[in-house]
Amino acid sequence: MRVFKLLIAACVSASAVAAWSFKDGSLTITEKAGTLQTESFSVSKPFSDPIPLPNTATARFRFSIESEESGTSKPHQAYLQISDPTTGLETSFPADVRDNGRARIDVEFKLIPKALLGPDKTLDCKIIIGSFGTEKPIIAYIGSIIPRLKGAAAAPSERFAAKPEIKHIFKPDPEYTSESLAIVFSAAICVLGLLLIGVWIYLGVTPITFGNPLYSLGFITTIIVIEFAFFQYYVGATIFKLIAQSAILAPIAFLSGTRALRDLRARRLSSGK
Amino acid sequence: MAVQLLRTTLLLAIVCISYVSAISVSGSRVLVVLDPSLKQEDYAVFLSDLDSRGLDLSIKSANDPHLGLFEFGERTYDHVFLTQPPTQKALGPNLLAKPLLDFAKAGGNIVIVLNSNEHALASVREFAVQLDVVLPFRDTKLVDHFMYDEQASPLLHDALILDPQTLLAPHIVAAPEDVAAKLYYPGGSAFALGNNPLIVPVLAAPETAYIYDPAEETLSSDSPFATGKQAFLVASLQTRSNSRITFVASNLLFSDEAFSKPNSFNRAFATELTKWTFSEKSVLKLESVSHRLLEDTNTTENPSIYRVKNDIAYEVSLSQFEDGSWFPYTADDVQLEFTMLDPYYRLTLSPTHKTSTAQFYATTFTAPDQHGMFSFVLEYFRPGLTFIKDKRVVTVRHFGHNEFARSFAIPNAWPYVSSIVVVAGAWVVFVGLWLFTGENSAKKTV
Repeated sequence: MRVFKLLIAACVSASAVAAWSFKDGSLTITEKAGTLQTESFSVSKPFSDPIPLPNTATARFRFSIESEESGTSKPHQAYLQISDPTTGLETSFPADVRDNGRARIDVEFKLIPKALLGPDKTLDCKIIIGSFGTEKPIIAYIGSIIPRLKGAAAAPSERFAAKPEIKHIFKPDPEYTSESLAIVFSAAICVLGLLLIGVWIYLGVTPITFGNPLYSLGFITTIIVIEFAFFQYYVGATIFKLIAQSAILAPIAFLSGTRALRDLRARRLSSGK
Repeated sequence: MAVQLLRTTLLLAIVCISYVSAISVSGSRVLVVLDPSLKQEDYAVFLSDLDSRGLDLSIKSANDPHLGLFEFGERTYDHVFLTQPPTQKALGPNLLAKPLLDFAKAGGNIVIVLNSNEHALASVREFAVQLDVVLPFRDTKLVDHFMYDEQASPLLHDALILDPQTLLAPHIVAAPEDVAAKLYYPGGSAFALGNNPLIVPVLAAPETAYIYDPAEETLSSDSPFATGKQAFLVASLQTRSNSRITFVASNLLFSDEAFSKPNSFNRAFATELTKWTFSEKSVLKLESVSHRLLEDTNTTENPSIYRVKNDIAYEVSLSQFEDGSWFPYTADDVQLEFTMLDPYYRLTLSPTHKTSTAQFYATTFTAPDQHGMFSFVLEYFRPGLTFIKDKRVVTVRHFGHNEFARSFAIPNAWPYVSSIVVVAGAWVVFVGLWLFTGENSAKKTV
């Protein structure tokens, strides 16, 4: 039933209903210096290549509106619609129509909204003709233009949506020399230390016999313990532990040290005689 | 007996109140300002639909001397449905632009319906301009010679039949599943929108439509107010405080006549549109926010201090209000920013688990190598949904003196460390030699 109705409607519109149309379409791109380019178009045949529009130029569209209904060739709506096929944004320019149906639309570059402009953006041009009553309106694609925008395109409007992700870029970690090189140098230093001790021993070491070695032994032991305390601090003990240890060890080192060195001086003086 | 009766009544009243307040998150008191030119019986279905949803309607005329949006500084209504008179006369001092703006600022929701004949009054126009909605000039008409209703306006082409599949805001009114459904626009004008990001267009005019002034442009339309998809029939706006305002270009969109046409989507459209505006749907709520050190599950949640390069875990949960109760809200575009002036991180959170009322989202990241006051910023602004913003400030401190790599872990330091060890060792040996060697004085003295 519905198909039947549609068929009837189609027949009616094809036979009885008159339709708007246009012919003799032409697009002229002009500058102050003169005409740059002229293209022709019709309802069924848009101009083939997109036409560049320099930013000082004007696109002049001319066409003749025809009506199959007698009496009028001046429709209520005669627009040139310029739209951006990627964003879906559009704008319309009303035509100046004379009584005989001649229509003209002059699109200056500066009249095209900024939102439609971008570097080498192709804009579609459509002519829309329609009016009140039963006459069938027409919307016809007539070709594309490329407005040559100088400078940057307008920034896109703020819209609420997910934003691009950001990942923090860390500063590079410090770079270290190779372990083997460090080991070579450390080994050289250790060898140097051993060499020094070796030289001392080579020069002659004569152990002495003490009457009372207590102070000297106490002094050297305290020194070794202090070194050990420093080592512990280096490895990770707190400074407060080191201070406590030093507070105990320092008086011992002082007392035993003065005695030991006094003995040593006495011995050295007596041996020097 | 009387006490028991009183108790039962009270209980019933409490149940009723809790039921009623659960209809919308903002409340259920609706002021319908119905102009005397609009007959209530022409909008009976629309009004009874509102009533049956549990809204508490007060239908008043703009001339009502007791009409007021505020009483002692408090809102007297939660929502306002405002129609316009067909001729140019004022709506009264209580419905000027300022009271309406104050009402929206105080959390009230507003639907403004323009009259199909005259459209907007100066006060409503002023209110709209503040929101970046540009209402049409007086007496203008929206026409489309391509998509008009052949029965309703065969010659004037001002009643349009629109395709609801072209609806622009799925969170406000989703397109119907039935592709044969039609949206009837029985005449009126349309308005233009500014570039305000808070505005959500709901319904745009068809590509070939335009708005003309019948008084000025009788023969041809040479300066249309708006053309094509730049003319809007319905647009909504949500303020940053989550009040909702909707502009509808014609009161006839909600008429019984439009509802009763074949395949009409108007009734569902009106229901969904008022549900959205009265905060009955697409309302989001932040249920919980937590952040903590990743490796340390025992630490207290939401510590106030982190260290640079700490691994941080962040978790939020979101709920959505729909049909009177809260449900988990699931999306894949919830983002967290970790900012100090600028975002150092912007991460998309991934949905993890859900409870019966909330969906959890989580992410992990390493704190940047920059100390200072940072914020966890969750800003979920999406057209048609409640704006959610949560900001938690934490300190990110630098490494402590005992948290750097030790010198024995750094190859460069090994020669220095070994030098110190060798010097210290050699010194101890030297002291030993100094103390315990030499010529034996005892032998000499003897």
